[in-house]
Amino acid sequence: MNTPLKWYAYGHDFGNAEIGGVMAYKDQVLSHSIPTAFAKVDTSAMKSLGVEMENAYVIRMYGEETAYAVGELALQQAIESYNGRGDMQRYASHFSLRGLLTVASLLIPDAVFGLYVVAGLPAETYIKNVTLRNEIKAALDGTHLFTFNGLMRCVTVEVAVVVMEGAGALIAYGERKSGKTMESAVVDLGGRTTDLYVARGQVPVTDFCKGKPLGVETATQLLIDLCERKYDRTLSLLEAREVMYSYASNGQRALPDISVYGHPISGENLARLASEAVAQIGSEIVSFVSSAWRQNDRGAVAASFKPVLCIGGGVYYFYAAMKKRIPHLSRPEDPIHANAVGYCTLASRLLQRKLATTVAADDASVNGLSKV
Amino acid sequence: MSEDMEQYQYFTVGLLKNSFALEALKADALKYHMIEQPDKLIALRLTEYYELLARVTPTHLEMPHPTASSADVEVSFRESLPVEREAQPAYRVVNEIIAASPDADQNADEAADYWAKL
Repeated sequence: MNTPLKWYAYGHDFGNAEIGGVMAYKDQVLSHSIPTAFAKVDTSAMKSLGVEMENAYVIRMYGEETAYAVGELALQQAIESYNGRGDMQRYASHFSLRGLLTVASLLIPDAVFGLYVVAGLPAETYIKNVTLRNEIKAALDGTHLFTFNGLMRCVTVEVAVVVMEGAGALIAYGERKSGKTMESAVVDLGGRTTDLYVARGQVPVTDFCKGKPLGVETATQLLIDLCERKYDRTLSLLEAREVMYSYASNGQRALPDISVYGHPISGENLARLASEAVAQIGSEIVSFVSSAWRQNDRGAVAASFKPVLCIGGGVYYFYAAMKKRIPHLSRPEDPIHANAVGYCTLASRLLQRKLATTVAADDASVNGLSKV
Repeated sequence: MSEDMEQYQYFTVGLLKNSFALEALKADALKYHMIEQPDKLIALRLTEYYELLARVTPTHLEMPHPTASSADVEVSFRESLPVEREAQPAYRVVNEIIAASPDADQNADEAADYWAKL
């Protein structure tokens, strides 16, 4: 029996700090994100050593001997896990595919399904690297057979379109403008970069679309440097991230225990270092945005844009500093998935169009046959 | 404790028995040796709450200036009520947190027309 494949609209956000996914599934919109970290693992050796396997995501493609840990397990088990930072080709890599399949497998239990995908690229990369869009499609498209945490899955991926990052957030949260001069703007405070996106309607205004390598991970690296300088203690990436998460949670999440030469570093001192790192990188981000979107010599920044959305995980760290410079700044409730939610909405619409075209073509074919 | 009506405004506060807030307050008082002073602890935690809110969403709390008169306070409070802000559609901004756009489907249509042809 030939059962038709069930297709779902999917927004894929392959960030350099987090991999986010949003899926339209049975009248629900599901979202999830995991740290961008991949490491080759030997699962049987890990199990025999009693390595904690909770929140462990292991994916192995059919026909390959190598299994990859994705997310937290990769951070825990590898000194240097792959995150693809600085490599623009990572968007079109097998890591992007593994990240997509991992998040999709976490979102739904189906063993066999299809994903109609909209993905994003930073605006500057999108403009400068035209061929990358086709390379992303080539890397992700296809039917992929793999095991996820030991269970077999078969997922067919079709990339509908690749858009500029920021476009997703304006689809999900932007106003529909009647005037053609009004611009909407997005500040995407990511893990590694801050990306600016401005559009009239849904059409980007490239002069205002810029990026700079500043983000949460920059602040995390500064925290590591500050701690090393002050205490001669080099925090691991995992430890530094925990300190930063605790800072962002306003005390809701406990600080990790950090010691140097057998003596603990107090939580107060760790929080102070994190605060200094966030303040310093925050001021650099504000300076970059102010320079890119300065509109007059009186210091107006993004004054004519409406709305100005602040999205990305950096919202939890830098929003207050940004708000001082752009008073009409606003943020979605879930800033981390803001782009991916819009990608998913766009993917749904494109999937509807595709299905409608297919049905119309089938009808035409049937009519054509009947005429014959 | 004697009341200083000149300096403070006093409230009678009721917390639902067995509620999460009451249990949390009791645990908090026990942890910080303040079981004899629940009123002070409530004042402290309320202050921290508003400080946190001001930090996370600074313009949500358009605090009156400390020297403002009670009339100013009243006006400021009323101005902060969302129902009075007719210039903005009701769905838009709640405490600076922007809700999903009711135009999302139309935005997606427009975006599909643009991005699909590139």
